[in-house]
Amino acid sequence: MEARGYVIVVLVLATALCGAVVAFNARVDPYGLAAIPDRTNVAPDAPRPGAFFRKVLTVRQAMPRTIVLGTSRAEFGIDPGAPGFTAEYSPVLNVALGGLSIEQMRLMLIHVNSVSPLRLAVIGLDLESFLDAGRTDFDPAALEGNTQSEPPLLVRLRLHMSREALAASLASSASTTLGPARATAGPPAAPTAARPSARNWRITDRALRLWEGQHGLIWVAEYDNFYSRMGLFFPDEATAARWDADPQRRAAMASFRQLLHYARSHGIELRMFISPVHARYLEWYREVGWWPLYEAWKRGLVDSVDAVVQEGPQQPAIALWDFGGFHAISTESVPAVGDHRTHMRWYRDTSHYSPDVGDIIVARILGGGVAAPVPLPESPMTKATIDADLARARDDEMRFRRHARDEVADIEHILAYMRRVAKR
Amino acid sequence: MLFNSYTFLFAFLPIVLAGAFALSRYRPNLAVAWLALASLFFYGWWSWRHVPLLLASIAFNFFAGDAIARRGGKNGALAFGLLAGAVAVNLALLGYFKYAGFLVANLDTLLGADVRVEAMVLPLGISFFTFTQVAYLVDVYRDPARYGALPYGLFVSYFPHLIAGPILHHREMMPQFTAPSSFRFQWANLAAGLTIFAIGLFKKTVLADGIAPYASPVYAQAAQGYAPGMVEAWGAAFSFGLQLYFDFSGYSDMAVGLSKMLGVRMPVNFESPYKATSMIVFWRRWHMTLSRFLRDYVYIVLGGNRRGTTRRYANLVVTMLLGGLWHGAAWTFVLWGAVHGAFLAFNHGWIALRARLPKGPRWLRNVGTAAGAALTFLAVFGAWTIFRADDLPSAVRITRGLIGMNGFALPPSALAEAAEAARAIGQARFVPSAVGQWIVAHFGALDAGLPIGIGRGRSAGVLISKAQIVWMAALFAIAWLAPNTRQIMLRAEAFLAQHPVPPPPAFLAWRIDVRWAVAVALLIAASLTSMTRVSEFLYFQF
Repeated sequence: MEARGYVIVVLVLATALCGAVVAFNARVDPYGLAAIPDRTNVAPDAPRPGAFFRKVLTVRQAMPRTIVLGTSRAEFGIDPGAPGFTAEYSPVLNVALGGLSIEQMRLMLIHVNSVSPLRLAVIGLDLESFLDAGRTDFDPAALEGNTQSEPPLLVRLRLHMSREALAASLASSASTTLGPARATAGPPAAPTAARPSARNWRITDRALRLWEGQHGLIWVAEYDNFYSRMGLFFPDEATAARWDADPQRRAAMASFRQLLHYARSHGIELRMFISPVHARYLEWYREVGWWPLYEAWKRGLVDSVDAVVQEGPQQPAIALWDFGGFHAISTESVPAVGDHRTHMRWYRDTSHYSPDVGDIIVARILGGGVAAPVPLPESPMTKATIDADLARARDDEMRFRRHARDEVADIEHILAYMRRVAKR
Repeated sequence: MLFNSYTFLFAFLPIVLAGAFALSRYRPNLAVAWLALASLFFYGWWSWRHVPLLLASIAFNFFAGDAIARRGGKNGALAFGLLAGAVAVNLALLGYFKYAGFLVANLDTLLGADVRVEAMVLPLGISFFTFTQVAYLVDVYRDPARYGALPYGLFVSYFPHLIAGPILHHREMMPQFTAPSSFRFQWANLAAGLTIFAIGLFKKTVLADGIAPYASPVYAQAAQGYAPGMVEAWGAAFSFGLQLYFDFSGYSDMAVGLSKMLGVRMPVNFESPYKATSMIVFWRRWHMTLSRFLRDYVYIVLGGNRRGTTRRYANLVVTMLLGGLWHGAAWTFVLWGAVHGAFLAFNHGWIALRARLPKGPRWLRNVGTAAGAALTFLAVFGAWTIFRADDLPSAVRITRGLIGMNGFALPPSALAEAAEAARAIGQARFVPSAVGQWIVAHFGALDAGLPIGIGRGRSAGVLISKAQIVWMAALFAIAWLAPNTRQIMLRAEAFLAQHPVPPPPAFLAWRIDVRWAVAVALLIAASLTSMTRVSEFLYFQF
């Protein structure tokens, strides 16, 4: 064989192989890119490859005027079809993703606005997204408007040529489609082993069997959120109370401020809220030594918003609500271990609220009227109110500890084990 | 622009190759100019703001080198002053961009002066192009040589090596850049270059990026205060050592392959370093062009082995310490360099001692060689934890884990996985029931003491996993058992190297035939389908 023939065989064969992969993936469409429904992620899929690309590529199809940003809490909980999103905000797209860091949210906001100029961004803020590096599959090159951006065609080619897509295509017969969209009003039906998929969330047979009903699911979510951050446990109180004491935290808050500046300079109205995690989850914060950090974070958010608002005109509006406290929603009773029948109304697990809570949040922050018997904060958190807000939360937390002794004991039991593992 | 990006593979490379081949048919100088321009474009793709800096550095060193040569090098008047001044300017540039923040931060800590400097963006490849040119200046001083501005510009900016080496030597490269045969289209060069590039791309995108997710979590956790156990710490050390090797040697292979396509040979940078039986051999096989630079321009300048044993060992430590500092402005790099300097001094000391002892029987020598290999292996991988750690406290935490000071217990997630595997094996049809029962009885309840929810297939918090162990086993098998790229490609004569290497087994010796063409096409396809996201090379940060 001559060198010329060798080179030709290599290039032709490699092209043919890659072409076959692209053609197969394009035909199977394992990420469902060809048929993205109007309302995505009310009942999100189980984590699977392609979630990031799916969100990114959806934008060009949906061309939203409003987006929902945040972590899995907003992804699970904020329905783009919520009544609070009136026609003036339409189309609404939920681009929140589990595990996004605040810097990744900023890049996502820029991406969406570069593709489809935005009027409003609703952002669910979580402490964890200011502490973690973010999703590992997050690829700035796939997003528009940043220095690493690649043309959309190249992004699609890269996605279709990937072996992850190939694996997903091959396994597509076994995979599920998008979860059921919300169809009915009223409280969610209780899941059973025979009917694992409830209205707004998905509890598999295996989870029910293994995790003793919803309490088991709560354990799993808490482990996912806390056990994976073992190194962050039990911080030094002096540094935990000062947000800027850690360079990573400093950088995260700087990203948040950049996000605010970007929104301001591009005429995007910002409605942000601190996610209403369950009281039990807040108790975890206290137990692992994050309470001072949580307070310092809230102060950092308020200071940042205040600084940006002071800099310029009053429009477009920026507002921050704090739903991350103890109230009628977050103190909902948790089903006992082994209770397969009771299901929480407001929560999938203690970290993730249901879309019914999302509806209330959207109505509250956009000013729409939703008749809900829940005392969520009526007005945004500001520099003037934060001290009182934090003091009240501290009192509420002590009251919760007194009344929910079983929950606290459950957390402390698990934490004692983690403390040994973390050697702290 | 990254070698492992579609932009490079499908746009930049074909255009640059076509342009160089077309222009070299008319005038070789045009091809040199085209490649120099392409290299600047390649560099500017990353950050145009730093192109003037690169151009200024090239221009300054070209004129400084020319001035030194015109004065007759070391015999000429003022030549030493020129050399010293030019080297100082280069080091000042490097110091400003790379070390100013580090220096100020340490002074701040030491004096409590509360001085802060804004973090600067490190110009890409600054360590590589600065060292390349410092070597050029010193050589011109020792042995005057004058080159044209265009070939010199290409020598420094040549895109295959610009970002992460290999560190080129002008005496190896300049004759090639000015040879009429270079940059000419030749199917044989294209075939060999394409093959080497494909091997490098596969190393990077499939092997290094494949193990990368397992390399980082322990370091991230340690940076936040977590003290990993022995299994986790060694898992992290092995994973990172393998990732770094396949990442960097993959990059070097790609650089050599690209250059070979253009008809230019580049120096070999890696030769199976993990097969080394001593630390001295390791450094002859790892990042060989940096080792050569440190030897020729630091160790020998310090006096090398010419000033007594003690001074020799001190020179070794200082040289490696500077080598560590070259990698970055952090105490972890300094410590890593010092540790390797100590390893080398110890190794030389042992050789000196061994020479005075009786030779011993052959079996004993074999045992000694095996022990040396094992010790080198542990020392190299143990030291990678210092290199990779985010800061000194986390380096200490992981090192304590390596030597068992944080306990030997498996992490809970691994216990859960092991118990699940034991139960599955115990119930498998192919396992005799008595054996199955024994396995389940002894290992099936390893996770009994864990709180419900930990492990059980959850991904969060897993610091060592089955997949990681499989990856490590596969990559160690390649690193230890497979021939290196230079051996495989011996027939192509694509690498510049001074010493011979043993040929590989016949079936692994590259040749132009259908079997190899199919294999290389498969490598390329596997690599391209692994490029789901753009992933930088680890050595870009240096």
